[in-house]
Amino acid sequence: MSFRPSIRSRLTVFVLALLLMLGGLGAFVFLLEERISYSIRHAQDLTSMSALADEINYRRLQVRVNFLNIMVNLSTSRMGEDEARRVVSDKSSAIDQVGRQVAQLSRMAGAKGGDLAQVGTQLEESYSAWREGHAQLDRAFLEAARALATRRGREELARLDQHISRMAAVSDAFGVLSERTADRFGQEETSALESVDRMYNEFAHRSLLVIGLIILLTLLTGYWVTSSISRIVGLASEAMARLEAGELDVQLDPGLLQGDDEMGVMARSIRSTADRIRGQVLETRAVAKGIESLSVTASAVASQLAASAEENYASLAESSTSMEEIKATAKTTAKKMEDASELTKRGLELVIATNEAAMALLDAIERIRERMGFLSDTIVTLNDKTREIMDVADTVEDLAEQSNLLAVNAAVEAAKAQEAGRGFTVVASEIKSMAEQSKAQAKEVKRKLEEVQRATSAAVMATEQGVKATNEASRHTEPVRSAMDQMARHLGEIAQMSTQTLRANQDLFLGVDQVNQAMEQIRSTSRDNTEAIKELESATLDIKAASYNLTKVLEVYRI
Amino acid sequence: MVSQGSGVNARLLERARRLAAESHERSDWEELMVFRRGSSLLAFRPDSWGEVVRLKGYTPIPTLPPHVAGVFNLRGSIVPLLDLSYPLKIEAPGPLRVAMVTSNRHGQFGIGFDSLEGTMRVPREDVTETPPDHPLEGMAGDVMIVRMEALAL
Repeated sequence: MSFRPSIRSRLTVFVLALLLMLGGLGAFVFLLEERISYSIRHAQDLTSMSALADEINYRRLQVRVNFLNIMVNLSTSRMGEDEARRVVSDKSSAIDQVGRQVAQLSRMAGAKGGDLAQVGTQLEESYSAWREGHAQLDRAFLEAARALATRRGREELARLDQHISRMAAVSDAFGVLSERTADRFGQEETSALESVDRMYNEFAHRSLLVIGLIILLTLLTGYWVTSSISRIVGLASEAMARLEAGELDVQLDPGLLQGDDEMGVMARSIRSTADRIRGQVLETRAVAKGIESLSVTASAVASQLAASAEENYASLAESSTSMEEIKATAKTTAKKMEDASELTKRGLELVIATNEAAMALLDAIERIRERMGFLSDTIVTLNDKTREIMDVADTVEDLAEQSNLLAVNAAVEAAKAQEAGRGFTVVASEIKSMAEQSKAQAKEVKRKLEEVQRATSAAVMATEQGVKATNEASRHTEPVRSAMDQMARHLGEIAQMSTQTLRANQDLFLGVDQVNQAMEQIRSTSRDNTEAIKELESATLDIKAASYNLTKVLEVYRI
Repeated sequence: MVSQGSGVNARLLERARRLAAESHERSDWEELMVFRRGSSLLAFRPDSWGEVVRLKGYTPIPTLPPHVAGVFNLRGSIVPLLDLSYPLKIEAPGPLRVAMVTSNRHGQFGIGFDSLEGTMRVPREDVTETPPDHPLEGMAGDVMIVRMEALAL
């Protein structure tokens, strides 16, 4: 069996490879970065070391210059022992400082190891020689100084000069070594920086290479996956075309069928589909055969059914006739019930008319009561008016009295006028008598008005009695009305009951009709049935023919 | 209309008759102005007649003699009001409603009565004269003729 990885596993492998390459690239970048940073640090160290070596040389020269100056002083002027000691002490401290720097440089060079460490050691050895030389020089200097302080120390000075010239050689050697050391470190630094540059270039090249690889890998994988999918689709479409042509015995490459990949799955599913269709075609053929034999049996049964349906039809016709008789009886009953209902209705109408009459009577009484009220009001108004007229009559009486007084006064005045007033006396007495008559008339009017008032009071009483009487009448009419109401209700109930009965009868009638109709339907249905059975008979024959055709059709498939 | 017209005619005729009678029998008749006070009738002769006014109330004044009822307003002047029920011993007199205003040597004053009965003429022979010191001048039937001079204020 050949191993065919599935598309998913291929993609997984591809992604893993990609990740691995990217990781490698990352690690490479990281390591290179480390190296570059180390080289830069190394270059920085070398720079500082070179500077340190230069400084050592500078300090050495400083020490020399200082000492030569002192020597000049010493030869020209006397110098005390104390001062000489101080000078020596100063120089020693300067030398110590140089020593510390040398030690530092040597330590740094030692850290770098190899060649550079050796350079450091050489410098240290040279420094030791220089320092030793200075120690001897100092001793000579101190002796010379002491000698110069006590006597003329030409010899000491000469000896000192020798020392100095020897020392100068040692110092020069030290100086040359320092300079060379500085140069050496400078060169080292340059080479370190060059190597950094190289590393950067290398990094760029390698990165480009790796990225190119990644792109290539991606393209290759894409092509691989696409070609796999197109192979699967091709296989499927080919299989489908063969199935369409009716070739159910699809032959597939056994290697392909056993494959674990999508191709294998596809091939297996096509194979199983073809198998299933083949199985179904075989089954259908068997069924078609079965149908053929069944249709023969069915046509026999259908013939029997047709005979029994005819019998049914005859018995249904008999039932229908007896139902017609029931219907006729129900019709007679309904007619009787209708008559009864009509009679009750007439009675009810009569009662309703009576009730309406009672209502009208009540209404009339109510109207009379209203009229009575109006009459009573009018009479009261009349009474008020009478009282007002009486007031007027009172005023008239009063005026008459005043006229009387006036007439008397006129008479008095006439009496005072003696003879001249005699005529006026008569007029006055005439006025007086008229006034008296007016008064009497006013009194008469008042008397009459009082009579009117009495009469109106009587009228008021009479109307009140009238109102009371109408109230009584309405009270007596009310029970009649309610009795009529009750009667109407009872009659209504009777009418309703008779109507219900009638309706029930009609329902019965309807029911009979419906039964009749149903019978008719059954009859027609049984007729239809008979026809249907006949059709069934012919249909069974058709089925037989159809199943034969089906068998023929199925023979198209190559199994 | 007819009855009213005939009434007027009758009254005119009666007046004409009376005027004609008066001209003949004037001296035999006495003219009196009669007032009512309680149940009594009081009369005055024409020489003591004065203006008759209606009393619209009067003001009683304390500490005056019992025959002076009070004072009343006569067109702006304050006039004493006499009540004759006390001097003439008239029982159960009513309120004073009218007054006759007259005057004597003391000045103007009014005499109060229940009501004015009117003027009347009585035959001179029907008047019974009384002595001059009597408060009444005489009697005409049951009508008392008041002596004006007897009314002392």
